[in-house]
Parts: sequence; C-alpha cells; structure tokens
Amino acid sequence: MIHNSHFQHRVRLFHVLMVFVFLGLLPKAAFAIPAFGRKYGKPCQTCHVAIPKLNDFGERVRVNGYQLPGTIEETAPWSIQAVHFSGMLHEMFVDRTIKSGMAAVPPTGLPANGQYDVNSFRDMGGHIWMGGVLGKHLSFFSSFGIEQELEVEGGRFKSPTSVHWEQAFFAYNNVLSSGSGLLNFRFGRFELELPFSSLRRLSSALAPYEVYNIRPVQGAVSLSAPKVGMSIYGVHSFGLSRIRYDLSVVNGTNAHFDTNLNKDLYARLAWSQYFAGPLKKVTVGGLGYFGTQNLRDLPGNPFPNEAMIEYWQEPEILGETFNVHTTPENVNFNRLGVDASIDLVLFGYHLNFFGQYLVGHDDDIDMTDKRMPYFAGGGGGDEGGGDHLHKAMTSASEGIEWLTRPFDYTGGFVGVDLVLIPTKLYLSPRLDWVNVTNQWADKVNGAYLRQNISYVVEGDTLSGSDIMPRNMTGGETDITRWVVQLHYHPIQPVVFMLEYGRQDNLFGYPEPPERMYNPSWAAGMGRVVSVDSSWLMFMVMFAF
Amino acid sequence: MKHFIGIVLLFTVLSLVAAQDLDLKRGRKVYLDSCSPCHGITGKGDGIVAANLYVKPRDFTLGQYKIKSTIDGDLPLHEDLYTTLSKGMGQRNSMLAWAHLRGDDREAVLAYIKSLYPRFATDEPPQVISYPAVVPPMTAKTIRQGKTWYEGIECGKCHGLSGHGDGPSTAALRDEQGHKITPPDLNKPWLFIGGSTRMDLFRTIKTGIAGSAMPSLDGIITDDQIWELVDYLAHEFVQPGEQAPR
Ligand code: HEC
Ligand code: HEC
Repeated sequence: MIHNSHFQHRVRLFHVLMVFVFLGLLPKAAFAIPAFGRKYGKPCQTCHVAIPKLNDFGERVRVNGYQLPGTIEETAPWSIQAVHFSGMLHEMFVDRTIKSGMAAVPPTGLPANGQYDVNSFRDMGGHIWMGGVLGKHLSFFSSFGIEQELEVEGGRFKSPTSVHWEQAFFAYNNVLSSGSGLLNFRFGRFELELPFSSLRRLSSALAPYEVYNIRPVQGAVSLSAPKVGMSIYGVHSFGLSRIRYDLSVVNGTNAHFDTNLNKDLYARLAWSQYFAGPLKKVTVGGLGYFGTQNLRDLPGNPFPNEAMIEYWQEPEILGETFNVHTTPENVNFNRLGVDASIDLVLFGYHLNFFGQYLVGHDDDIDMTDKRMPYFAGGGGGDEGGGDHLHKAMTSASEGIEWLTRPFDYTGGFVGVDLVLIPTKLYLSPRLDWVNVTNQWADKVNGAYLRQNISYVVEGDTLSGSDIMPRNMTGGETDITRWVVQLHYHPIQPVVFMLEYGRQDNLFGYPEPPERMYNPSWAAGMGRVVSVDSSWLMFMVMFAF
Repeated sequence: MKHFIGIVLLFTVLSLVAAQDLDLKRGRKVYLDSCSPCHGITGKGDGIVAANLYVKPRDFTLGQYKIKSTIDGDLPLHEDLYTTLSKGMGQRNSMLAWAHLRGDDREAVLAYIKSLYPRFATDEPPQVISYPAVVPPMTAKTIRQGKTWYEGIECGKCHGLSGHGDGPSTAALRDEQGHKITPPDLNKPWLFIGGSTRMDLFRTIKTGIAGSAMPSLDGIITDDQIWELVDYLAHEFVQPGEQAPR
C-alpha cells in the first residue's frame, strides 16, 4: 500500500486510523474487477480515479465507445463471447441533524421542534450496468438503478423500492474509422456530457452538484437528469491539446413523449492542454442548454386547441374559471456555464481542482401566455380561496396586468479530489452554492411558490384589485453546502465512504421580505421555512 | 550513369529517412493518444494517471524492460516489445493488451518509444538467450529436482514457500525506482507479466525481471536445472492446464 517514501509517515498515521475504522478489513491487494475492468482484466484505477469518477485514460476509453483509445475492435457482433455487466450494492448510514426555523408543521411529518436528529440506515440499493462493444462501430450502455424511495404515508415513513432505467443508449462510434473518437453518434437516454458527470461524482446522494440539480419549473427537468435524445460528440487531438465537443438534441421533459414540439439543445466545448512536469493538465470549457417549456408539458394540460385557448382568454370568463393558464407558445429557458479543471502531481500526490460556474434563466416559470391577464383568487379573496393557480386581472376597468415570472440563478461548485494513498485513499472536499434571485418556485420540488406567497400582503387580504405586488421579486435564496468525503478502497471491489456535509437552507426555500408571510402559517401555506442541516454519512459500496 | 546511380541512391536514402520521420511522427501521435496518460508525454512514466497506479508505468527514457529474451544488460528485441504490447502484462498492473491497435500503429509507436532511448539506435544487435530446440518433458523426477532448486536458491525468501508472496523479505522489496514491489502470487498465473506457459517461465527465470528484485539465473544454474525449476513451478503452483494466456 505504500508506493513512495513521501507517504510513509502519513501512511502510518492513516493506517492507525483506518485500523480503528475498518477493523480487520485490510486484506492484501486483490483484484476483482467489474464490467470493463473484467473485459480488459485490469484493476479499477486503470480507468477510475476513485470509483466511480473516471480518470483521463478512462475518459478516453469512454469517448472511444469503450474501446482503448486509438483502437477499433473489429469483432463481429455475433462472435462476441460475453456481454459484460456489473453491479453495485450500497447501503448508507446517515446521522443527520436538521435545524428548522419553523415553528409550525415541518416538512414530511418530522417532529416540530426546532432541531431534530435522524439517524438511519438508508438507501440500501444498487445498480446494474451493462455495456460493451458490438463490433466495429457499435457500442452500448445501459444502467438500472434500484433505489429505496422515501415516502410519507399516513404520517409514517415508508421506503418502497423502485427500479428505474437510468441510462440506455447505443452509440455509433468512430464514424470516420479513425479510432481517435473524432466523430460519434449516440441515441437513447443518456446523461448530457456535463463538465463533471453527476452520475460519476464522488459525493453521496445527499450532496449532488446543486447547480445541475436545480429545477425551477414544474415539468422541467434538471440539467443532470438523463435525457432522451441523440447527440454528436467526439474529440480531436493535436499535439498536446485535445478538444472535446458535444452537441445534443433532447426532449427537455425527460419523458419519451414530448409535447412541446421544440427540442432542447445542449452544447459543450472543452479544451484540454497537457504538460510535462508537475502540472499535468488544464481543461477549460463552456456549456449551453437552450430549452423550451410549454404548458402542455405539465400534467393535466394536454393539447389545447385554439378554440379552447380563445375561450380561456375571454376576459369575462376569467373571473370564474381557474384553468386559464395556458398558452400554445413556448417559454424559453437557458443555462450557460463555464468550467475549469486542473490536474497536478506534487510530491507524488495527485490533486484535481475543479470548478463550475453556471447562470440559469427561465423566462417565465408560470409559462404564462403574455396575452393573459392576471387575476386574484376566487372565493372571498382571502387565503381560504387560494389553493389554485391564478392569472388575474387587476380589474377589468383598469386594464390588464401583464405578468411574467422569470427565474434567475447563479451558482456553482469548487472542489478538489486528492489522492492520499494511491489506489486506496482519497479525500475530496467541495463547496456548492446557488443564489436565486427572482425566486418564484420551490426549486426542490419544482412546484410553484407563488401559490404559497401570493395571498398575503401584511395581513391584508387580496382582492380583485389588490393582487400580489408586481414589484415583488419573489425574494432571494442562498444555498450553500460543504461536503468532505473520504473514500477508502480496502480491496478493489469494496469502497467505504465517510462524508461530512452541512447545508444551509436545505429545501432551498426563499427568504422573501418579512411582509410576505404570516408566521402562524404552516409550511407549504406561504410560511417560509429555513431549514439547515448537517450530516455524517458512512456508506459501503460493493461492486461486482 | 554514375550520376544517375548516385541520384537514385540519394533519393532512396532521403526517402528512407523521410519515411522514418513520418513513422516517428505517426508513432508520436499514437503515443500521445493512447499511451501518454500513463507513460507521460515525455515518456518518463509520469503520466496524469500514473500517480494513482500501484505498479508504475515504464519510464521509456531509461531503456529498462522487464520482458525480454536477451541476456542481462542487453536491450529487448523488437519482437519482445511487440509481443508485450500486443498481449499486455497480466492482470496485476494497468498495462493493457493493445492487440486492437492496428499493426502499423503498433510498429510506429514502438519506433517512437525506442527513439526515446538512444542506445536502441547505436547498440550492437542484442544477444538472445539460448533456448532449447524442444521443451523437455516434465516428469516426476524433474519436479522433485525443481523443488530442491526452489528451496536451495531461496526463491521462497521473496515468494514464500507456498508461492503466495509471503516470504520473509517480501515486505521490504523495492524496485530500482524505489517503489514498493510485491511478487505475484505464483498460484495465480493470470497475474504474471511475462506469461505462464513453461516456455514463458523458462525465459522469465533465465533473464530475471530487470529493474525489479527478481534475479536472473542465467549462468547461475544450467538450462536443464532451470527446466527442473520450471517444472516444479508449473506443477506446484501454476497447475498444468491453468496456464492463462496473457
Ligand atoms: C493505463 C496505463 C497504461 C497505458 C495507457 C499504457 N501503458 Fe504501458 N505500461 C503500463 C504499466 C503500469 C507498465 C508497467 C508494468 C510492470 O512494470 O509490471 C507498462 C509497461 C509498458 C512497457 C514495458 C514492457 C516491459 O517489458 O517492461 C511497454 C513497452 C509499454 N508499457 C508500452 C506501452 C505502449 C506502447 C502504450 C500505448 C499504446 C502503453 N504502454 C499504454 C501502463 C500503461
Ligand atoms: C529478491 C526477491 C526475489 C527472489 C529471490 C525471487 N523472486 Fe521471483 N519475483 C520477484 C519479484 C519482485 C517479482 C515481480 C516482478 C514484477 O512483476 O515486476 C517476481 C516475479 C516472479 C515470477 C512471475 C513472473 C511474471 O511473469 O510475472 C516468477 C515465475 C518468479 N518470480 C519465480 C521465481 C523463482 C523460481 C525464483 C527462485 C529462483 C524467484 N522468483 C526468486 C522477486 C524475487
């Protein structure tokens, strides 16, 4: 386990530590190897920094359709002897403290005092991956996730198990027969070529890349969720530089039935420069996602025809009907990002610094027809009337208020993955932050927050002429999260992970101006909650 | 006429040189695409992933190779390198089998690697170790005799008497670059870097493994005695029939 004299004194310390933590679990190096490792008969670190993050070589293999860089496997599909698959089981133990600034009913039925601790075994689940080369140009990849969901039913927590098909795609590789991965196509459901793969990140399910995870609008999907579509991607190398590109056309909705007619476009371009010496590689890149939303993407809003739309847009009807929020028009949203990654080897320690910065904008989270007036709740205009979405008219005589509700955020993450003991022990701290201006939506559930906050203005009730103030920006949300993980591979198929994390504003609720809410209300009724959390998580992964 | 021959000769030489340059250029491209992540862009074995590998990639500027059919101190044959590149080096390290790399690319990349160590161009052709014409038969007697060599030459010091790599000196072993090196479990022939047929074992034991702690027995015991040792290994550890292709 010691490879370099620099490590030695440290190693001793770590071993003492590790022996305490993983008593007796330090067998001699054995090399059991899943899927591709099995195909090539190689230890995991050939392609992975630490499971599941790929190293530079692993990335080259992946781009080349799971074939070694520079090679094209000529095997005919019918003479392939085995389709390689592998699996992973994991279970975590989480000890979590949640501090809630909420006097009334906390989310999901947890006890209602200010601070509570949860500790539980959770997320027992696994993955099954299949992938491989099907002859000269064809490769495929498919993964199933088996997860325990958390549900509250009748005030009790339940954990039904669900199997979901995470990714499934075919790729036509090396279209130009170069073996260098210059031009490839793929079709199916896949994770976008994000600068930092969400599926292959080192942190646990409690700490996703938050800026990739944001999902302002109902019906919209996060950047990191696998998408259905196709992409053209590849790499071109010249000298010590490599350019990586990806152009994807996808259904933004993540469903295979996309009603909004327009496809979403994702583009990524990255430049890597390699160096001799301790600085090994610098990568800078940019991404853009250009999507459209349409009300028809929302559940319960199938294809309205022109007559229906006209009917809904009749001002006289607006006072009586609630279901007026529809438009055949698309509402745009976009994400723009820049990223960088630096690899260094200092005194035999490999360090990978990485960072992502992202700006997101949604034109209108309500997907309001621009021609659509805005109207206040039915009923007495009191809070009691308000569990619907409303477009309102200030008053027919005063003319029409045109409202759109844009959503803007910036955010990112910076982190470093550090190899403490080659092939064995990794440390990776990371900071995620997201700042939402114009918060109109609950970014966690993608539900409207407007629903929650539109009815109260300093205890006043809303009436036909006193609607939600137009200048209300919806407040700002700041989410910050720190995580530090230790990854330990005692033997190749086993990974132990210890993660400490703390997150301010766990649910990403906004903090609008004071006057926006009534403290006596429960969460979800316009009561703004601030929930902070910290956790210590221990996870065992077993890959086979 | 003389001039004509002269010009033809000149052109031949020039085009040969140019072809070699082209080959090297091609070789460098293949090298950068396929090998540099491990072996490093200057060939010093310090590629971007090397720091996280247990067995460090070869430093091509040192000209030291583990698998060769030449005598101690001589460079490997081109064929040795070609075989290693095509078959890989077992399952214990990250050196892959590059059989799917096109034949001419394999030649080009080897030419490039050799250009990183000038002695490949200047040395006399290397001297090949003596091989027997036929592999001698394995008998109960040779196996018994081999056991005495295994114990007598103290293979067990590093390999352990059971071959599991648990000998008294095992833990302290370092290769010439100062990295810790452990012998493979002799009961797991798929880990061997130089193959596990009896012929492979003969070559490995005779040449040793340069740069590692594994000694060469060339000139220390006779070829016949090496065969006896091979028979013992094959019978006791590797198990006939379990000779994994590398
Ligand atoms: C994923 C990492 C990796 C890649 C990629 C890689 N190698 Fe290696 N290579 C190694 C390692 C590790 C060793 C040392 C193995 C040992 O010492 O047991 C090695 C050893 C070698 C050797 C030495 C053989 C001997 O007899 O000592 C040669 C030659 C070689 N590699 C050539 C190549 C060529 C050519 C390529 C590109 C086509 C390549 N390697 C790509 C990891 C790699
Ligand atoms: C000083 C320690 C040492 C001694 C003595 C020693 N070996 Fe080794 N042996 C090694 C090491 C280290 C390796 C692994 C080399 C590598 O993979 O680079 C090795 C590898 C081997 C291998 C595997 C070759 C392969 O292709 O991977 C065989 C077989 C072997 N030794 C046989 C022997 C026999 C037989 C003897 C006694 C004559 C012997 N060794 C004595 C250290 C030793």
